Amino acid sequence: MSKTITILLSTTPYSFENTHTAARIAEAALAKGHDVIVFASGDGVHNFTKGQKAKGIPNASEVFSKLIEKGLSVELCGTCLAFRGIKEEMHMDGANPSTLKKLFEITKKSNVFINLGM
Amino acid sequence: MSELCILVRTAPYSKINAAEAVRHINGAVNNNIKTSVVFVDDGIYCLKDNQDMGDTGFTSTAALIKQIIGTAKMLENEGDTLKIYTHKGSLEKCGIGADKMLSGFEVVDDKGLAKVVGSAKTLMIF
Repeated sequence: MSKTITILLSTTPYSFENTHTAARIAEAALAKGHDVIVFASGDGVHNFTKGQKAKGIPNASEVFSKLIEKGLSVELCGTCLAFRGIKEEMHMDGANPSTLKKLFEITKKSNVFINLGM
Repeated sequence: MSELCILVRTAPYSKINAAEAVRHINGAVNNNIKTSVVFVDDGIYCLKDNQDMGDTGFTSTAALIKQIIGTAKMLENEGDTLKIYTHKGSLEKCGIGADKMLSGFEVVDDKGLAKVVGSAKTLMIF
């Protein structure tokens, strides 16, 4: 039976292993037919900006773009985006501004909630 | 049983975690989510009263927590929307006298801490 898995990602893409962990969990869960939501909060919103040039390490924007195509839902904390000056045209397609209210709605319906932060 | 448990284990200002914890506590209260909050380890320092922020630009975590408690009291119907706990061992280690901390919270030991965390549907860690 399909379950809903929510991952709260709150660290930048290349200083921690959390992005890689989030992506691997999401990929595996999507492959098994589960619904997966990544809610990016705090510096986690930097995972979803366009035009990242990272090489020699998994490129967060490329990895998450592919996962979005496979059905990953991505919510970006709107306050955190504004806090960091990240405008709508700067974040990737399929990753949209969200709210704390939405986060709490998601936690209510989630079967599994995973924190990936500092 | 709370819908949400927020575990605060980092001191304010050196990392963003404590501020983010307070922001999420505020969001939960304002969205009427039954929430338990536990201050543990260095998170205890968030409760140091009369924090003098000077001209740093930071906002006092204790002042914000007081505001949130006030909001929770205004909003809640049954008096249990927000429940705040402090961890006994962490309080003892922090070296700040009880008279200098925000007070009125239930103090839990290790077993109590496990019970609060384990009984919540969702756990957020800061």
